[in-house]
Amino acid sequence: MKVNSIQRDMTLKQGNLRLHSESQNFREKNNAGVYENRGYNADYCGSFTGKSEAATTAIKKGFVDKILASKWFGKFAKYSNDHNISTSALIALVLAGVMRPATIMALPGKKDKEDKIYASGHAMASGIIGFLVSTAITSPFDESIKKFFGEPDKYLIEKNVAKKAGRKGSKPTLERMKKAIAYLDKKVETAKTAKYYEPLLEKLTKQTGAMETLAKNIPDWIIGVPRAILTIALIPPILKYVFGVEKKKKEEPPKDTVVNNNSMEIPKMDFIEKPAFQQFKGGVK
Amino acid sequence: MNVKFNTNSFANNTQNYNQYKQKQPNFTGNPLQNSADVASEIMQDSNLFGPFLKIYDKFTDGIAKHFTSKIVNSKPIIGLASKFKNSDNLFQHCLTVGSVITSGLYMEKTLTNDKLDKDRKKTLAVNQGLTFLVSTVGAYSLDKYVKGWWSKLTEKFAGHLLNDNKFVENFHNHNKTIKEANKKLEEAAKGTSEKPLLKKTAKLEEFVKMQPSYKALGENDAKALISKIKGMSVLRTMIVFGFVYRYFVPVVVTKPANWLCEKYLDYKKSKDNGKNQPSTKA
Repeated sequence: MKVNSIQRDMTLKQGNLRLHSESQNFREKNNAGVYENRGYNADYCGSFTGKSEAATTAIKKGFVDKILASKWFGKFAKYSNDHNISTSALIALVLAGVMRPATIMALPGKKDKEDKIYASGHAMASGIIGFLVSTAITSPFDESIKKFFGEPDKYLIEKNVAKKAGRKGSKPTLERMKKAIAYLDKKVETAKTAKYYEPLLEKLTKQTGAMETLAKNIPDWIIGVPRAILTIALIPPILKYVFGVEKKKKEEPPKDTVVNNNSMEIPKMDFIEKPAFQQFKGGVK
Repeated sequence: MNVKFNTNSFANNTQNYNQYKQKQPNFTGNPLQNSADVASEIMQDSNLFGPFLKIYDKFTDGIAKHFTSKIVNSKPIIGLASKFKNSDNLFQHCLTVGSVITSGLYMEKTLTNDKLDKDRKKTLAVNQGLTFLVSTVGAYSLDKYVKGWWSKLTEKFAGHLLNDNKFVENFHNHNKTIKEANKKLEEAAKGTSEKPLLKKTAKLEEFVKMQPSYKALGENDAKALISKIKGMSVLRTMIVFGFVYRYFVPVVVTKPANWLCEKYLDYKKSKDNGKNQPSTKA
C-alpha cells in the first residue's frame, strides 16, 4: 500500500509569498510528493524552515529583482524580441519624449523659456510620431515574420501556382534549413554521433537566427526615409494643435518708424518711474 | 492501492463541509495563462473584434506569402546571414544601418538647402556626419561595456522565469565544472601530440533548455520563454543605442559640435577676407 501525503501549510504565517501563489511551485511540490517518489516524502512536509528560507530570499529581493520577476517585464522582453523596431521606437519615445524635455527644461541657460518649451515639444512630437509610425507600419511585418519562421512551408508560393501567375515561386530555403535542423537535432540526441552533427547544427541554427534578425530589421531600413520625411512634416502641426506651441519668428531689424517709436517708448517709461522723477512735483503752482 | 491524504489545516477547520467529501486541492486552470491571454481570447471570440482580427490575420498571411518569404529566402539575406552568423553584433549593425539611412537623409537635405551658403552647407554636413560617426562608436563601446552586467541580469531573469532560486548558482557551477575538466584534459595532454576533446561551456539558452522545469513546459510556453531571454539581449542594445542617438547626442554632443562648426566658419571667413584684401588693393 502506498501512502502519498500532500501537506500544505495554509496558515499564511509568512504572508502572501510567491511560494503560495505560484502555480509552478505548486506543481513541483505535487510532483515531488506524489509522482516521482511514489511514496512518503520526508523532504517536503510544509515545514517552517523551508518557507522561512523562501521568505528570506523574498525580503532580500531588490528593486531590480522585483522588476525582473514581474509579469509585465517578461511580456516586455518578449515584445522586444518579437517587435524590434517598435520597441526601439518606444525606448526612443521615453528618451526623447520624457527624459530629453526634462533635461532641456532643467538645464540652466541664457535661452528663454519659450525656446526651451519649443525644443521640448519638438523632441516629444518627434518621439510620438516615430513610435506611432514605426508601430503601425512594422507590426504587420513582424507578425508575418513570426508566422513565416514558425511554418515556412505554409507561406511559400508553390512553383506551379507561381508559373500560372507568370511569377517566380519562392525558393524553399528556410523550409529546408528548418527540416535539416530538426533532422540534426535528432542525430545530436544520440550520443554516439553527436560530435559529428553538432557543428553543422550550430552553424544552421546561427544562420537561421541571423536571417530572422535581418528580416525583423529590414522594414526599418525601408521605412527610414519616409518616416523621417513624415516626422519633419508633422512636427509643426502637432506642436501647434496638440501642444499649442509655435516656432518663434526671429525678430527682424527695425525697418519702419512705428517700430522705432515703440522701442523708444520703453526707456521713456523707465525714465519716468525713476525715484528722482517720482519726487519731482511739477505743475503750475 | 494508492491513498492520498490531504492533511492541510484548512481542510480540518472546515470539517462540516469536508467531513464526508474530502476535496483534493488541485489546480485545473492553465498556470501560464495570464490576463493578456484571456483578453486576446475574448477579443478573438467576440463579435465586435472578430472580423477585424480575421482581416488582419489574412493581411499578415498575405505579407508572409508575398513579401517575407521572398525577402527571407533571397540571396542577399542568405548571404548576409551566412557572413554574420557568428557575429555577436548583428543587431547593432542593423540599428546602425537604420541610423546611416536617417543621418544620410538629413545630410542630403543640408547639402541641397538653397537658403544656406556653400561653405555653411558643407561644414554642417560634415558636422552631422562626424557627430553620427562619434556617436556610433560611442554606442558600440557603451554596449560592449554594459554587456557583462546585463548578462548577469539576464541570468537572474531566466531564474525568475523558471522559478528557480538557485538557477544562477547552478549555471555558474555547471560552466565552472566544464572549465575545470577541460583544464585537466589539457594538462593531461601536455607533452603528447594528441589534442584533447574539450567540452564547450553552456550558453544561457542552452542551460535553460537543460532544466527539468523547461522540459516540462509545452511547446508554445517553451518558445515564449526562450523569446523572453532573447528579448533581454536585444533590449540592452536598444536601450544603449536609443540613449546615445536620442538623448546623449541631442543634449550633450550637438551644442559643442555646432559651436565648433560656427567657430570654424568664422575662422574661414576671416581667412578669406584676409586673402581678398590685398587683391582688392592691387
